[in-house]
Amino acid sequence: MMQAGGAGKAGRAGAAERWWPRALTALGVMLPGLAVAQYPTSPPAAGPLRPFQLPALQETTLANGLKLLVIEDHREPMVGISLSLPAGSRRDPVGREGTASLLAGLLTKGTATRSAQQLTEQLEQTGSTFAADADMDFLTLSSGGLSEYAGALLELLGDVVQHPTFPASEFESAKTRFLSSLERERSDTRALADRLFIHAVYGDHPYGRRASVASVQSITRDDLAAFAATSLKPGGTLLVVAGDISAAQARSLAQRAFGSWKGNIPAGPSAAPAAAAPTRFLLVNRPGAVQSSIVLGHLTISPADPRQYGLIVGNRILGEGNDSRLFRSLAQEKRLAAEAHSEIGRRRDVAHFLVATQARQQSTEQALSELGDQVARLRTEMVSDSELTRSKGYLIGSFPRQMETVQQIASQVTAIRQLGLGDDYLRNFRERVSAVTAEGVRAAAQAATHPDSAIVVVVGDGPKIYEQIKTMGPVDIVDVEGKPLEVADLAPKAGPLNVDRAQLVSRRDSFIVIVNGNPLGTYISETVAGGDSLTYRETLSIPVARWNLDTRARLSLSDLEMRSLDQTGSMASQQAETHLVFAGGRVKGRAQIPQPGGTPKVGTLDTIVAPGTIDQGVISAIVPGLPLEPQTSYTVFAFDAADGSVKPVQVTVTAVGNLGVPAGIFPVFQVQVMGPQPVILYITRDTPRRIVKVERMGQPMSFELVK
Amino acid sequence: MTRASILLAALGVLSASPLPGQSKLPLEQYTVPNGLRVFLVEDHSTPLVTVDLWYHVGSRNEEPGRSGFARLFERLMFRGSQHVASGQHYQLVEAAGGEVTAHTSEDRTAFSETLPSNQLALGLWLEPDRMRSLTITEAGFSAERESTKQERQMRVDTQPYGAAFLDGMTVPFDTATCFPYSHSVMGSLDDLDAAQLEEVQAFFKLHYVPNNATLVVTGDFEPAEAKRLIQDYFADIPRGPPPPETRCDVNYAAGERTRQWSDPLASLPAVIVTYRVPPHSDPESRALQLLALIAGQGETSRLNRSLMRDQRVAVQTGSGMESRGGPGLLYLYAIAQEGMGAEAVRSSLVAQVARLGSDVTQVELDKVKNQYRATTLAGRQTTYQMAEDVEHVAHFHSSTDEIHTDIDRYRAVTLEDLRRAANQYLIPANSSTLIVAPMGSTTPQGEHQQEEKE
Repeated sequence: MMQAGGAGKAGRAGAAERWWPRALTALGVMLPGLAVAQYPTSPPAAGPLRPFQLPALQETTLANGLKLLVIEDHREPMVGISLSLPAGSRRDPVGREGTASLLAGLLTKGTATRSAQQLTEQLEQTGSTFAADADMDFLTLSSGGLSEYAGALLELLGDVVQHPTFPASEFESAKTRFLSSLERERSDTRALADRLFIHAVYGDHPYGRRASVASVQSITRDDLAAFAATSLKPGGTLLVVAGDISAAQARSLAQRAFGSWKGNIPAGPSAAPAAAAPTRFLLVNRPGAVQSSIVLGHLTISPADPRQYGLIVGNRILGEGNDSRLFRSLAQEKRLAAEAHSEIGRRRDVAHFLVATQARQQSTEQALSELGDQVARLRTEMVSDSELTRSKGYLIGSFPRQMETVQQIASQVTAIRQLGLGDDYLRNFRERVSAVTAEGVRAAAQAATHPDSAIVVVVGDGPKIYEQIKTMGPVDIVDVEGKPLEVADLAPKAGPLNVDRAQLVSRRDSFIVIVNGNPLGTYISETVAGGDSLTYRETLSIPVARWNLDTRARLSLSDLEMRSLDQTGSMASQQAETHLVFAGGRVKGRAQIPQPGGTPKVGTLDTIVAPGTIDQGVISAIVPGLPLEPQTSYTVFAFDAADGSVKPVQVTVTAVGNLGVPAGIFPVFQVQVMGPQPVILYITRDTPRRIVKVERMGQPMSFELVK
Repeated sequence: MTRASILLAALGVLSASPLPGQSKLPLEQYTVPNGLRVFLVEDHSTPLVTVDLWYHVGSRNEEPGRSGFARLFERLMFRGSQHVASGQHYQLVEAAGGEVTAHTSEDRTAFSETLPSNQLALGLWLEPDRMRSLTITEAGFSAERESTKQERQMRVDTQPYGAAFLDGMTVPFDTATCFPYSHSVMGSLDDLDAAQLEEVQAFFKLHYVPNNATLVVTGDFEPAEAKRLIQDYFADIPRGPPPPETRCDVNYAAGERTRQWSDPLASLPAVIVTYRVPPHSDPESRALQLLALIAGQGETSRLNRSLMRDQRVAVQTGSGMESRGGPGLLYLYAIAQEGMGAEAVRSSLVAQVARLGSDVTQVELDKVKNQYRATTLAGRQTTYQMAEDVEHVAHFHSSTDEIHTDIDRYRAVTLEDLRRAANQYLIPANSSTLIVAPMGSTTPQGEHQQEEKE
């Protein structure tokens, strides 16, 4: 077409001009493109927002009070279903926190007419998905699949909420899994900081309660049945069905599946959250921690407040993503922390706002002021145009990506109903965000943030952090279990060990090493008391992991002062080799210590140590000699060659009882040793005491006495 | 729906009721004069667009001694071009609220941007900028070569069974007759070390040209606008010479192979059995894919029920299929229970494979058809997966029109089709068995690393 036009013009032109069009013609069809638009040398600008065609919400209520919302979407023969009950963990009985979560996981593990296996078979046979989860306010079941199975899916949902049986074996294994995840959380400083922050910021409000090892241990099947009988009811419950189904059909299928369900969910417990007060600190002592987990925050404006859009835009500028102010300032420019972020915690009754970071221990004070300064800056200064554009661009552009499939649509509609945001929220979100100005961000920050009356939780090395924060405001100190401590409890108090030498006699004990329930190796410990020395030798061998470790230590028999420690061995392909001499108030030597998944850490050591400091490698030899009694606790100061520091190790007798191991049944103390590598020791109550079992906390590994 | 059928559906037994055929997408296709093939799928349900560009180059196009180039380019493509600084590609898409993907297989290298629909022009500008003017410097090349090594270390060398699953999958193919599929996508680190910058640049010039690429745009856009932008941004990129064809001769009954792997990170023995399967365009590949699902996907799969629940010889089982432009693989694996030898696991596993040729039931076939259909349709509600599916059909099916019929073709597979495919391909003579032994343990087959028995 263009060639024809070009040739025509050329035909009418003079000979001298004739080659021009021909040359252009040779470029072919790209010519008009070049003629009308230059190839841009910078990114093309965004066009105007295109409309969001969210299908209408069709709402009805069944006779039993169940509210049904249908969103017809006939693109593909698929449905997404969400059943959401106001039966979240705020309804957990006091002291039984974790009930709703445990219940959610057990709904598909058996009903009056179907076994767990039958429920799985039905879901897999129809190609459907299923998930159940409890948050603070709601218990939500979501499911999805082919629309020809919509009736079967609704019927299954109806069965699991009306007739769950919580079979005993499934209950026990779910409880064990829950407990082990809580155990892991205890050694995770970020999780610990979050947990204590939520507890402090909500005070007596049910949102302040969280599942703990003790609360989950006390939950029984009867508790689940009682919770189900009271709180799994249709009145107050919302069913959302999105996809290739008519409103009438959805209603008739819902009636079939849920029609015989009766009752209302009673109002849940509530209380006023903690009142605002001048900023106060909660220091959680984690001796020896090299990082401090910090959370600073407070209650904030409700999700239904019109200023929330300004807050959402400001929050992204402040602390969401690697381009945010907090990340750039703390992690990149000032290098105080590995990570920093902010977040808005939206809940049904009341919301919270927080900023958080993982700071280097030495930088805790600086990191805290930087967090406060950055929040204050959002309240006082206008954000820049480029920050505003990037934040809004991200929020507006990413929003529709959560609304593509019928399953996503069902979840989003459920979420806005749960938070009471109004049905136009999804439709208008992009325009509302788009309308936010720099002034709007500042006004929202002034309404929603107040760093001067905040809760600040710091989890880290107590003595060092206390010095950094004691002038910043009132400080409460607790240990990792939440038990209050005095400032004096933080000071390391090394001194001669209070050890009963009669307990430390010559002997040789053999153990089997059990990993994940399987016997995989051997552990031998040997003590020889002779002359003026106590010699301790320990050999660990786990062939499948290529793990061999031989430890030999000498202590003076009279005062149990360390003299030397030699450790050789290998872990997988890494060699371990440590040689230390303790003399004249110093420890000198070198250490090569295997690291998880990497190369060994090698170092030369020369450090002052207080009298009574032992190497962490001999803790197991010394602990049986402490004056163990129920409910007693001791601090032993242990040298850790991995970083050349002395760390207080808390030794606590947590229980007494009888324990069976291959060597027999023994009356024992259960002793928790919170060192760099936390363990639980089971030590005989009879003299001379001996260790009969060692459990590594957070790892599926234990040693049991054979002879 | 009738009352009776509602009841049947409620009981979960209604499986093969007559259903309307596959929905027909508004697919428009054309070719730019420089050879770039374009596919447009207009869908205004969500204000999003995906720009998806696949180059028909993968590890199969690499030369012996120069493996790993395709995977390397997946990374180099983000190191900047004439108008985009290194790393800026990600920043621009992130600031728009979008999402970037990039992945490489034996057959193709894929790049996509999913963006709000008012940012269509950004996606359609970022891709041609690097196609026409990618920056390939010694510094960028050596940095990405190091990243590849680190990735290999993190994802393969420090993961139990990692090496067996990556390198073991090349065992069924011989270097002499089928180099394209006898080396891994990640390539050899020695090859990358030996590679010269000029070779890398030449590889780009040969393969990353418009006539070796397909562009798919899906979502909320006006076709006229998309076509205008494609014309403005892509059309003046010159066509390259046609890249050379690759060759793979494969024998589907080459005799049993067994390899031993010593894995220092594994604590339990594992067995992986693979079978060569024909190229994706072969009609039998549908039956084979369904067989792979029946064998090892989900709690009710055959391997899970027999090896884990009934016989208790394994702690983990699974299966899958690598369906490709050339010959691919159907694989099944099991990790032994503590105390179980590899041989016990292997014999249980192959006994299950043998039964796939005779006793699959209609209920099982209906189950995996439901699963296949539900997964595929869930994906097609997103602009990204829709784009990927169109690209897939354009690259691996005999006609692009099959995007309208592909799901129905799976639904038409019969028990007889399964039997025929299983008896042709899932046979001992077509199998390669990988035995992974924890290092330091002894197995009946001995302790030699990568011992070969043919």
